[in-house]
Amino acid sequence: MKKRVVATPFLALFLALNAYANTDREVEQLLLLSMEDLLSLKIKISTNTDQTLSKAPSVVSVITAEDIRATGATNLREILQSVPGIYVRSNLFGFRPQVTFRGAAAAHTLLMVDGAPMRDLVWTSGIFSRGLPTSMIDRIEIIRGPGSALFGSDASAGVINVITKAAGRIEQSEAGLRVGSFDTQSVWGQHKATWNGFDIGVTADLSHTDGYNPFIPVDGQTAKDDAFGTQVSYAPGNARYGWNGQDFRFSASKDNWRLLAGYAGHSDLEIGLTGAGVLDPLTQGRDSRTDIALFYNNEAFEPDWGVNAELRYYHLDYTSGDGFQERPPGYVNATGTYPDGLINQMRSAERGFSFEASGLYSGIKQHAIRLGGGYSLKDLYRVEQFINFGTGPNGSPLPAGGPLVDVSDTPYAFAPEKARRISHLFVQDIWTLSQDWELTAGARYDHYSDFGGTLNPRVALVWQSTDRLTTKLMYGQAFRAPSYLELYAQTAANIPNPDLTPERSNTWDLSLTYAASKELRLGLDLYQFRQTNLIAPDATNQFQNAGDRTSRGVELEMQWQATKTLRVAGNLTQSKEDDSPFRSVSLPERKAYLRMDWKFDPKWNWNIQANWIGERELPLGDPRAPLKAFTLMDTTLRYVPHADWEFAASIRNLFDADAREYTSSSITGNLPLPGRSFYAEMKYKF
Amino acid sequence: MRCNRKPHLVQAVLLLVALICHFPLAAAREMPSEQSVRAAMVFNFLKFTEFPPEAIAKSPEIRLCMAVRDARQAEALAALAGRKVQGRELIVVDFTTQSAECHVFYVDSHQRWNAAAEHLAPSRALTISAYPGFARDGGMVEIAIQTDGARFDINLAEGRRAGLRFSPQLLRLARLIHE
Repeated sequence: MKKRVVATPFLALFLALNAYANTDREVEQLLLLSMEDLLSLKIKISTNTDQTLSKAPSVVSVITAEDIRATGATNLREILQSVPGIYVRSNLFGFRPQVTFRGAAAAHTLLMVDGAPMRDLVWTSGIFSRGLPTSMIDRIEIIRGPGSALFGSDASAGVINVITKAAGRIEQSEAGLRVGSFDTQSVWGQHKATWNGFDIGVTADLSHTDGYNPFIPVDGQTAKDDAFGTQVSYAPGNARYGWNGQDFRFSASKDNWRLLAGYAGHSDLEIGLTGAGVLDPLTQGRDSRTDIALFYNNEAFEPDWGVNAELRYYHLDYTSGDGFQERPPGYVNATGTYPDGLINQMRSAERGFSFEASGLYSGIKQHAIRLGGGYSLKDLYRVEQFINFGTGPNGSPLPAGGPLVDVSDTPYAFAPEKARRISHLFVQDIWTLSQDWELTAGARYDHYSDFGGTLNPRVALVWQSTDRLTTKLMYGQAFRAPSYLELYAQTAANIPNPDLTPERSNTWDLSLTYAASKELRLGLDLYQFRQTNLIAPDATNQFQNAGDRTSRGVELEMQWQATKTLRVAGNLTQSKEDDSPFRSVSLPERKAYLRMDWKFDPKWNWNIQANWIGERELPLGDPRAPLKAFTLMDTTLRYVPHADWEFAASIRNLFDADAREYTSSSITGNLPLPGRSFYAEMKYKF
Repeated sequence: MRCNRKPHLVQAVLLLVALICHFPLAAAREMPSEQSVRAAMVFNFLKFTEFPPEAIAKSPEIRLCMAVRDARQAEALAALAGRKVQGRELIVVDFTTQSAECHVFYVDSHQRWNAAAEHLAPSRALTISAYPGFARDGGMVEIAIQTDGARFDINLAEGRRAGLRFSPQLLRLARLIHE
C-alpha cells in the first residue's frame, strides 16, 4: 500500500513531464506529414523573430486577405464586425465607421495602417474617416486589450494594424472591377515587379458610391421649427452619404530596407446629417492623407543584436467645401433669421514626422530584450474657418443674417495652429522560463510637450499547459492623450480645458486556447477593463477628467473544419458594465458572429455569415425604448473557372433586416442601417 | 482514516494533472512553431533532391551545416540528426569556415549567407534559408513562413549549377521557380 502511495505521484509527474511538447517531438510529428500537408499547416510565429503584431503575447486575431475575399467585404468596416469584442458603430455624421472595443468609445481604439496611427490631432478618428478598401489589405492584426506599452496613445481598448499589400507580399498582379447597389462602382489593381534588385509593389483603388441615403422622417431641426413656427427642416428627407475614394500605394524593398508610400483621398463627401442631427444636403467635403515610411530591419546587425529603425512622414488635410450647413436656410433663433442657414466652413492641414529605433538583444540565454525609443512631431499648421454665426474674430457675437466671416488665426477658430512633440522610450523582455512558460514584461514612457509624461507597463505570462491548451494571463495599462478638441478648441457645444490629463485604463485578461482536435479549435477570453480619468463635459460644458467605468466580459471563439470542404467559425461576446454614469451606452453588451465557407466544388466557394447585435441601452434621460437587437446576414458566391479569372456575387443584409444605430433623440427613429444590397465583381490575374 | 484520505486526494489530483497534460497528441500539433516547420521542410527537401553521385558517393553520411543565431531554430534542425535520408545518416553540425564538407547548408540571414557563400562554393551544397530574397541572392531554396502556412521558392539555375536535381514532386509544390 505504502509503495503505491509513493509510486502514483511519481508516475503522475513522469507522465506530465513527458507529455509537454518539446522540439524533438514536434519535429518528429511533422516528419510524419507529407510535404503537401506540411505546407497547409497553420504556424505559430514566435515572439522574438517576427516583427508583426501577432508576436505579442496578447489576445490577437488575424484576418487574412483570403478571409476577406471569401466574405466579399469591400471595406475594412465590414470585416471588423466579425471580431469578438469589436462593434463598428456607424456615426450619423457622414456614416463614419467608429471602431469600438469592449464597450469603450472609438477614441480608445488605435487604428494603424502599416504601423502608422490614423488619428489626427483634432478629431478622434479623422473627420471624414471612411475605413479602407479591402483590395489593398494583405492582412489585419487585431489586439483586444491594451497596447500602450508597445504603441503609445489610444491603445486602451484595442489595436488594429492593417498591413497593406506591399512589395514581397503581392503574389500576383491583378485587376478587378466591382459594381453594386447605391450606384457603387470600384476598380482596383495590384502589380508586382522587380527593378535593379528591388522588389516593387503598386496598388490602386478608385471607387464611387451614391450612398444608401436613409430616409429621415424627423431631424434635429424639426423641433426648432415647431418652437419658432418655421418650416425650414429638410426632413422628411434622405440623408445623403455619397463619396468617391482614391487609394494609391507604392512600395519597394531590398535587403534590409523597405519603403512604403501611400495616398488615400476622398472627394464629394456628403455628410448626410450634422453632428446635431440636422440634414445637410450642401456639404461636399474632401480629404487626403499621404504617408511615407522608410524601414530598416536587420536581425543580425551584430552577434546577439538585431536592429529595427523607421522614419515616417505624414500629411493630411480636409475641407468641408461650401458646408457645413449646421442649420438650413431660413433658420430662426433668438438672435434673428439666417437666410443662408448657419454656415461653418472648416479647412485644416496637419503634417508630422516620427523616428523610432529599437534593438533586440538575445545575448542572455532565454531572454530576448527589446530596447527602443523614438520622437515624433505632429503639427496642425493650417486651421481656417469661415462662419456666419457664433463668435466673430474680435470676440463679439455675429449678427443674424450677416455674411461669412473669417475667424482663422483667432482664438475663436475651431482649433489652434499648434504642434505637439512626443518622445518615448520602451523596454520589453521576453523571458523563456522553461519549455512551456514564457514571461513578457515591458513598459513604455511617453512624454508629450503639452501635458507631460505617462508610463504604461504590461506583463504577460504564457503557459503551454498541454499540447492542446495554451493559457495566457495578462495585465496592461494604457492611456489616451487628450485631443486638441478637448484641450484647445472652443466650439458651439463645448469649452476646452488645457489642464486635462490623459485618460487611463488597466486591463486583466485570462485567455485559453484549446485545440480539441485537428479540426476544432476553441478560444475563451475573460477580461476586466477599467478606465479612469475619462474626459467629459461638466455642467458648464467644459471638458474635465471626470469619470471611471469598469467592464467585465467573456469572448468565446470557435473554428471548425467540419469536412474537407466545409469550414465553420463563430464567436460570442458577452460583457457587463458597472453602474457608473460613464458606463457604455448605445453599444451592445452581447453580440455573436457565425460564418460558414463551403467549397462544394474546387472552382466554387459559398460563404454565408450572420452578425447578431444585441439590444442597446440608451443614455439616461433618453425617453425612447432601448435599441432592438438585429441580425444581418450576408452571402457571397465565388467562382474561379480558370487560374486567371475570378467572379463573385454578394448580397449584404440578405433578409433586409431593420437594423438601427443610435443617434441623439432629435432623430426619433435613430439611424436606419443599409437594407438589402447586391454586388458583383470580376478579377483578372496576370 | 483521516491520514489515508489525504494521500488519496494528492494522488487523485496528481493523476488528474497527469491525465490532462498527457492527453493524446493529435496527429500533428495544431500550431507547430515556425522553427519546427522549417526543420521538417529541410528534411523533405533532402528527400526530394538528388545529389550528384560524386558529391555523396564517398560519404557514408549526409552533413547538414547550419549558420543560425536563433537557438530554437538550431534545436529544431538538430532534432533531424541521426535520421536516415537517401540511405545515409544525417549529421547536423554548426557551420564554421573550417567546416568539413557540407551537403546541405541552412543559413538564417543575408549577412551570414554573404559571409559563408564563398566557403561553400566548392562543396555544391543544397542551400536553404528562410530570409526573404535568399533565392535572388543565389540560394537554392527559400522558405516563406506565414501564419496560414508555409511556401517555398526554388532557384533551379543554382541547383543545376551545383549538379542537384529537384524531383518534379517538389517543383510542383513550389510557389516560385527561378529558372
